[in-house]
Amino acid sequence: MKMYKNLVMGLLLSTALAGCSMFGGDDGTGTGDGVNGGVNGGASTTGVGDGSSFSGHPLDNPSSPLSTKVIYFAFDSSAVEPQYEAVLAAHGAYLAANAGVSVIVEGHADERGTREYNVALSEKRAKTVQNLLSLQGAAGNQTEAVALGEEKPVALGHDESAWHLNRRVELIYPAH
Amino acid sequence: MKRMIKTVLFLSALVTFSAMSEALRIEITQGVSSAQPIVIVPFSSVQVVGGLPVDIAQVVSDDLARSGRFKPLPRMDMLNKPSSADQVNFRNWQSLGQDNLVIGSVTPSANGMLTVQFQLFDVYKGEQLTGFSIPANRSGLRGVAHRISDLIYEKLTGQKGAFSTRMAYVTSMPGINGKQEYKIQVADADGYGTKTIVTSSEPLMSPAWSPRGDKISYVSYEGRRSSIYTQTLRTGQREKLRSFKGINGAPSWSPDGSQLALTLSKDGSADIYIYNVITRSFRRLTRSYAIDTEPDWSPDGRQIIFTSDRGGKPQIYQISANGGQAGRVTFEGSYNARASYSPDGKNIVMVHRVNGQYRIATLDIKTGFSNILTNGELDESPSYAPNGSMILYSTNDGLKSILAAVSSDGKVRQKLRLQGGEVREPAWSPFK
Amino acid sequence: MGLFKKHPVAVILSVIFHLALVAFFVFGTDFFSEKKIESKPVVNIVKATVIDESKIKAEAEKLKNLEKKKKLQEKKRLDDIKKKRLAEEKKIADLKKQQNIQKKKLAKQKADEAAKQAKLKKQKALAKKRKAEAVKKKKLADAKKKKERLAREKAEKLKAAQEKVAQEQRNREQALRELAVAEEAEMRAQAAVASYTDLIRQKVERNWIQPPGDITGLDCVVRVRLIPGGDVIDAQVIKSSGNAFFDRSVERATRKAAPLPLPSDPSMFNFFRTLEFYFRPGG
Repeated sequence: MKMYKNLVMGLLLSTALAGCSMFGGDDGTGTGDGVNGGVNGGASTTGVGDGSSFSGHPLDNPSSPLSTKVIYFAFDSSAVEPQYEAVLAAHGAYLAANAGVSVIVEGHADERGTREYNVALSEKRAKTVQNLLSLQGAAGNQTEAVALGEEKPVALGHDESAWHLNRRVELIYPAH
Repeated sequence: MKRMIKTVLFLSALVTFSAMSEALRIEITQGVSSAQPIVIVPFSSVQVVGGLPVDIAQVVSDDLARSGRFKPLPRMDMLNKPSSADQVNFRNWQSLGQDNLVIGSVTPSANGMLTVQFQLFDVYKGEQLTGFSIPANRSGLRGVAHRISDLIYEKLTGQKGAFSTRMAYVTSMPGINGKQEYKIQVADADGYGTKTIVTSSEPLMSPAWSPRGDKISYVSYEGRRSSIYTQTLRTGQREKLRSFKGINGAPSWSPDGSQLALTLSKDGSADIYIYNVITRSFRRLTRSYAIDTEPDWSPDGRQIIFTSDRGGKPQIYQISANGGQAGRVTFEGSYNARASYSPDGKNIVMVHRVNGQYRIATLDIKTGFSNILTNGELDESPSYAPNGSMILYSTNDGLKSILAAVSSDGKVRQKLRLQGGEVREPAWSPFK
Repeated sequence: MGLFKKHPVAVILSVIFHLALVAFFVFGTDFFSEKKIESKPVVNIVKATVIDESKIKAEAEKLKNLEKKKKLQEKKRLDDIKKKRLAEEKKIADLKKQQNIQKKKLAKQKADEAAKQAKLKKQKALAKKRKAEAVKKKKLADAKKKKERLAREKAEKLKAAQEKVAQEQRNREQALRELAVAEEAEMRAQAAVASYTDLIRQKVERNWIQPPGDITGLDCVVRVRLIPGGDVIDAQVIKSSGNAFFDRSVERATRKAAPLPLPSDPSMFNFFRTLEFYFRPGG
């Protein structure tokens, strides 16, 4: 699992880097409430948890729940499982404490079933996580739920070991 | 006593004799349901300088075979190869059990043009059923071959042929820079003549033909969020529909081309909305806390069927295009989604899960009779041919996702070999 | 004996020859008996071991004495049994004697009584008998006359009836024979028609490629004319189903199935000259 964590983290970091340029770069026509593209770098040190021996960004602290940025789901479910509650609490608190930070809550589904229905299913997952974050104090304009359905799998097999990894929500922070 | 016996004998003889002069009645209650045998003799082209770039007879043969209704005779079994009516000996073909015979020829005409001529014969009656002479240029020969397939198909089945149609689909493969590259491509119904209409580094989904076949709408994740585009094929120009927070997906054209049904989640959960192409305004059609998505219009433009899990699991529902109460359509199985109407409006095709396997199934709306057409584990995205005879769909061959075609009665299935990469989400174009 | 009168010589000769044949077989066997082959008997020489004579003798004496003793014992036992048996027999014999004396007494009494009764009966019967005999005599005479008359009439009737029956019988047999011949021919023809009809039907069914779609309820009739050998010279839809493709498919099926199987007997061809196929999918 640790290996996967690192792999996913690596992926997230690179996507976050890529997302940096596109973030908020959409044309102004009708995207509703746009997410604030501005980023307050890594200057603030009011991170959550005991990261006393870690000198980097709190979001990258391996001993902090903030380092977990992927949440996995059971088949056909958008309920957050108990083991992730602490993670989401940490992220919620972090966002609450850093009003200028925003995060994309990106929902995904495994390949089974029809594609557009899976987009809607993955949106339910993203919205559930989004709600939990706002319950912890994140503001509405700090989170945006995006639904990718089954279109961007991280694992390409056709069995539960792959599907399990694809049923996820990723928390995508801008570069920091 | 003697006289009586003699009378009886005479009468019985009379009866026997009259039976002899009547027709003997034989009742036939069943036959065989198999493809019709047909011979398509290679077209002669001796007079054409430089030969032909297309083997017309082979294209016709492949078209008719793919429909599942015909069984063309392999060339090696043809004892002779006539190219004109006077060369035809029907007895030869009768002895091979071939019901139908097609012969043809290509000859040069004025200005570098060609004339393609063909004749279709009923072998057992020994008479011609149809014949045409079609002008063509060298680059248009494949199109002429498909036209010939349509004419033959119509003559022998009474149904309009769908061989001159096209299909759109999504491909996904690693691009030059190592990143995943997504495309929407358009090809002939037999997979030839592939053209890319849009490329992106973010996912593309749900291509949908306009009723006149001049535009395709699709979902694009460029900008990392979903939005719907409508692109004109001839020019490559595209227009982005106003997009909202959340889902923008599943576009579906109304039969008269004035509206698009689509999925938006801006007001909470995914719901069906109707977009007016002229006024560019949106009208909400379904209101539920559940997921409503994947709309499709009935051929008369009055009804819309869609996927909804308002009952707990995804099932197919139907609602008037003007709005109102939605009624449930599917009652078998715990997962039915992505439904679309057959061109005659009598059936719907959908993805149906049985024993954990996702398959393509049809449902007769009037009788409720359902038929599972495929046997894969991850079959999806079914799309009817415009003559209702076949269904294109996406399946997995163990290595990657590919396209396949199945006849609408489920009897004949065929995999389509396209270029490398993942190929999915086929959409069959309307008639030209 | 009539035969002898007609051909005396032949008969005598025949008898003589038969007798000679018999004699020949009885006495003539010697001519054909095989010669017996005498064989000498084979003598076997046996080797024996020497045994002590005196010992043997002693043993033999011993055995002899044992035997004697046994014999005496046995004799005594048997004598005892005999004695007992004799005593029993005497007892039984005495009893029987007594019984016989009693029986004889009773019997004599019965016999005396019976004799008395018998005498009385005899006298009565004699009187009756004399009366009856007179009546009987008269009756017999009358009956005899009637009988003779009836017998004469019956004989005549019987003769006439027998003649009639015989004639009727002859007529009936003749008619039955004719009918049987006709029936058999009819049955054979029908069986042949039925089995060839089946063959024809199966061949057409095999060659009928049903058009796709729902065809139950469609109904088409094709009239086919054959020539001997089963070739089709004409096939025409005489009742359309309303669906041109259905019609065409059934017409084609009848042509494609040619030559149709026909019985080899050319006189049967008339049954198959014109066929009407009723195509009704789903029955």
